[in-house]
Amino acid sequence: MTGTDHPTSTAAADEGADLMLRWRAGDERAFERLVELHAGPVYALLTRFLGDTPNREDLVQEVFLRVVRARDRYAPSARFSTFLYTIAFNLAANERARAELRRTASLDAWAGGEGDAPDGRGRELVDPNGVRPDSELARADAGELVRSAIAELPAQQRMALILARYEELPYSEIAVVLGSSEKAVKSLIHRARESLRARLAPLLEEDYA
Amino acid sequence: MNLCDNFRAALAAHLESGTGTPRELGLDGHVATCAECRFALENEEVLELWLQQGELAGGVPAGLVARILAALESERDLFPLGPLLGTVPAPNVPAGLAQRVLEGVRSRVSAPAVAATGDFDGPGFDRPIFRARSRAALVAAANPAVVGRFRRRTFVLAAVALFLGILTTVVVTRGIAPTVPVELEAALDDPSDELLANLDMLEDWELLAGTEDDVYLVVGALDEFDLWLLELAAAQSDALVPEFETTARERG
Repeated sequence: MTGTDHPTSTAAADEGADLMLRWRAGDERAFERLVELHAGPVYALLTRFLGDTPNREDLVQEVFLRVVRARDRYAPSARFSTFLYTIAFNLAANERARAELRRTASLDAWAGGEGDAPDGRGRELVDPNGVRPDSELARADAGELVRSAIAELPAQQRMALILARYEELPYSEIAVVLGSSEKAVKSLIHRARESLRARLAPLLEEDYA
Repeated sequence: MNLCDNFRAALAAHLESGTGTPRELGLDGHVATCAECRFALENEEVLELWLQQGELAGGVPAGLVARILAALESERDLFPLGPLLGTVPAPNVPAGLAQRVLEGVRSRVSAPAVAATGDFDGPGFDRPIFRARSRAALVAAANPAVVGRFRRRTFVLAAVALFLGILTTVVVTRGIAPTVPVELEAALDDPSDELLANLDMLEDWELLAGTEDDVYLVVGALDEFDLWLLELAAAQSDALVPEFETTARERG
C-alpha cells in the first residue's frame, strides 16, 4: 500500500470516526462503508506483519467483529485507524505466538522420532546459522530478501517499522497501537533499522557501495 | 529547492550550528509525507536523546557529538536503507475482500446463542456469553450509554454466576465441600461501582488484547480464593498448569 491510497491519512482519518459514530446512531450503511474502506489496509498490514499465512482473511473478519463489539463503547479519542490497528496488532501478535507454539510443538515431535519433516519434506542437513551463499542472494529477489529480513524482527520492532515506513503513521499513533511511549517507539524503530542494516549488509554493499 | 531540500538544510543547520530543530521551525509537516526525511529526523532525535542521557550521566566528551554525527552521515551514505525498504511490493488485496468480511461478520453476530464450546478448551467457561455480547452490540439502543451499561452489567454478572455454578458443580462432583466466599456472594448480590468499573476496564482490555478467554480469570483480585480456583481448574484440566500440578495431586 502506498501513502496515497491510505484511507486514514489526514482528512480521511475523521471519516472513520465519523462513520463509526453514524453507525452507532443506527446507520447500518456506515458500517458497510467502514469495512469497504478499511478491510484492504488491515489485510495489507496483516500481510506485512504475518507474511503469506492462509488465514489473513479470517483475521480481518475477527478485527471487524471486535469493532462490532466495541460499537457502544467507542469514543473517537484517537483516529479510527489507530483504534483499528491496535486491534489488528494484538490479534496478529496472538496469531503469531500461537503459530510459533504450534511450529515448536510440531518440530519437537518430529525431532523425537524418525521420518520426514512436518511439512512432508525429507530431513535436510542445514546449518541454521549458516550464511546464504552469494549465488543464492543474487538469485533471490531484493524485495523478498527485505521482506524476510523484516519478518525476522521481533514483533514490536516489526510492527513499529511497518507502521512508520509503510503505513506512514506518526510516532504518537504508533505508540498507541503498541501500547508504548513515543520514545520507546523511536528506540524500537532505531533498533529495527540497525538489525535490518546488519541483515541486509551484503545486499546493501552490492547495490550501493 | 523542494521540500526535502528545505528540510535537510534546516536539519543540517540545526546539527552544525544549534539553530532550531525542523520541528521547532515548523517544517515537521513534511515528515508526515516523506519517509526518508522522517528517518533523518528520527536519527537526529534519537541522537539528541542519547546526548541528553549522556549529559545527565556526567557530561559528553569533547568532540563526541561531531564524531557520532560524522559516523551517522557516512553510514547513511553507505547504507541507504530507505530505498531498499521501498523494494518490498505492496501486498495484493484479494478482490471482493470487503464483501466477504462483511458477510462473515454479519453471519457471526447473528448466530444463535447456542452452547458450542467445542472450539474452546478452557476450564469451564462458556463461549455463548461472548457471542451474546457480540450480538448485543448490533442492537440499536434508545439510550446507548444507559442500555449499554445495563447490558454489560447483566452479561458480566451472568458470566460470574455461570462460572461460580460450574465450579460449584465441579466441587460437588469431586466430593469437596463447596465454600463460596462471602465476599463473592456479596459482590454478586450488590456489585460495587469499583467492581463494575474494573469489569468495564477488563472488557475493554480484553477487546483490544484479543484474549477474551482469560478475562474472567482476572475478574477479582488475586487472593487466596483465586489461587484455590486456579488449583481447582488445573485439577480439572487435561493440560495441568505446571505450578499447580503438585498441589492438585497432593490434594488427590
